[in-house]
Amino acid sequence: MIFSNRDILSELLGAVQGIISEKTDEEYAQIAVSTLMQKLQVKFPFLNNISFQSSVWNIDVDVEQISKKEVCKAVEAIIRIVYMDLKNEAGLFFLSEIEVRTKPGFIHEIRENGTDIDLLKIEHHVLFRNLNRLKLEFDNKNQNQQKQSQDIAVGKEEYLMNLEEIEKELLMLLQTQNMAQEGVLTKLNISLDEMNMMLSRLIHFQLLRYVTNDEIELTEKGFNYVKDLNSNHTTLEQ
Amino acid sequence: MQKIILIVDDNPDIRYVIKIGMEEFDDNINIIEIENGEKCIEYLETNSPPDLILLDIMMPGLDGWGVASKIKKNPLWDHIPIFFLTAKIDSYSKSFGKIVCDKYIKKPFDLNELRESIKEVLG
Repeated sequence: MIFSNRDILSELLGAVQGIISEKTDEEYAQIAVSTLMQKLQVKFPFLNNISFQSSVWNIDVDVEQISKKEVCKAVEAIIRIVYMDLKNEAGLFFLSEIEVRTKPGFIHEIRENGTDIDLLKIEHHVLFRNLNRLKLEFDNKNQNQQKQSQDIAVGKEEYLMNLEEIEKELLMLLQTQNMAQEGVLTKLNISLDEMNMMLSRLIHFQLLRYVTNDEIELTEKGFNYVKDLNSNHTTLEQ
Repeated sequence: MQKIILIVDDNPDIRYVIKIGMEEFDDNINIIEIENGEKCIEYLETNSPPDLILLDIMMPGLDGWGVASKIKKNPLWDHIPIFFLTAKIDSYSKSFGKIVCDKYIKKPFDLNELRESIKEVLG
């Protein structure tokens, strides 16, 4: 699919607005996206050609005069502002949601034209891993489980994710039981924020996916991962 | 000149603590207590714009997101600084709140920090 400049901006703004709307409300989301664009107009004056009218983003045809690479730089700037402010756990969810909420080929199109999604992901991942390590330093009660986790990872180069033991427990729980959020929090003795952080990571690694806005299931990769985990546990026990 | 600050929160204890804490701190600050979002809009429609609004997000009826939207959409009010003052601590609320509002302050808050933040905005 070929995306015009207007298509690119329209897809992105719709996706960002949708994500913000789910966590706030529709009107606030529209104001938030408008505010983002106002902030970026100094650097990307062509964003001035966008307005919100009658419940839709109205993008002036003049935007087509701008080079697609310039438009994709603006796209990266919009994503970066929200993404980097979301810090670690929620940022991963934000990027995957952009992909889910845009037409097939959108991510490919912006990537081809200079929006460095992969670099954003790496920057974010490094930030997340560092914060996670920092957290682990204060939490040595899981040290033995960590060791076991590393043992399992040996020989499984395709799973370089090095999941935490508790993340594996969550995956196994999701495979065996259909539990409500509260049940998972109680069973794993974790906070809602910790669970969201884990879910973001597991979705990022494509082990889980959203079925609906509030329902998550294992992907095929997730099922295979849990299957391998179970067989490794069995081997270790023997 | 006296500065007017609206505290919009359905919890009377929070409103009381802020009113006492701020007015003691500065004689030139007048805290107006407002118990919900609808009354905040009514106040704005019938009074001069305040110098700052401290806004709770989770309120029955018109919540903080709704109030902030109405304020920022109105050219007579869109210059009013807004601090979200909320127990919502998830990363999304904080980040999306910060796009539009001037400060996101988590409850329970430190009164001294709140004073400092207000001082920064009011000058």
